[in-house]
Amino acid sequence: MKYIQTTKMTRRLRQAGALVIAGLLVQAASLFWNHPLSFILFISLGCLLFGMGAVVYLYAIVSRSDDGLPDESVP
Amino acid sequence: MPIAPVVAVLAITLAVAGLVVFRPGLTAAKGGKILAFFGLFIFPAVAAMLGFESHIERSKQTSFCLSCHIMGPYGKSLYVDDPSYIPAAHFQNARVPRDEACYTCHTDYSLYGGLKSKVRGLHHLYAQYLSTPKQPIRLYHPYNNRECLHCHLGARSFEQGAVHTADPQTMLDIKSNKLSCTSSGCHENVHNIAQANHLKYWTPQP
Repeated sequence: MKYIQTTKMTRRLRQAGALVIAGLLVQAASLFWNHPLSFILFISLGCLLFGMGAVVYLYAIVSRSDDGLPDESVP
Repeated sequence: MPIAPVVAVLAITLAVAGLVVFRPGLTAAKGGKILAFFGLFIFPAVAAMLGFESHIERSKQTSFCLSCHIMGPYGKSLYVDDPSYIPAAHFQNARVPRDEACYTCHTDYSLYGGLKSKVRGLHHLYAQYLSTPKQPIRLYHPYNNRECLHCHLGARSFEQGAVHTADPQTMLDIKSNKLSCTSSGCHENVHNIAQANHLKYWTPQP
């Protein structure tokens, strides 16, 4: 059970991290594109991906707390 | 804000977030959990705010406004070799910052004026890419004297100008925006791009 929880947690952390990294990369790219549409790219894709990543991350840590497992459950 | 610090924060954030993604086992320890919280939430939020600020600052630049093809003639009008042309006189004599010339005169100097001008900018984007810009381009509202008086109020040339002080009511009307600076026949030569092909242009010295 602990192993399953750890795997699920790890998977969610990776998903959150991947979304955050994708958002940051889009934001970085938009900063080097000097065009009015770069702001739209920054907001609509960069911040959206970061926001989704943050939500997945927060859900991961909240759902882990709900499990009632001790924090040191990672083998 | 310059782009370099923003990119530096983004790079640090990417490194920390990457660490969490590729070494998720780190989050088992208390320090790892704190690292993950900063890497996946705090740092990206800070990076996004700095990036937003950087975009907002960049949108004030003259080159940003002129990056849309439709604004080309208005940018060209800043170089008209005629001091009666208000934008050209202000731009060429550095009465406005040259790299923020459009924004300086076309933002609202009121509470939330900067925000209003950004919302108008989003409308410009809509008109440019999803609709058809109206020709000729017109201001959404008549130009408000408030924008002129933001700089000129209290200036000797304005307060003691012969025409401005000829009648006490004139000054009151100017300050209350009842008598427009630009459309009352006094400073009416603004961009006037219809005449663009018949004008002489100033070439800045390198």
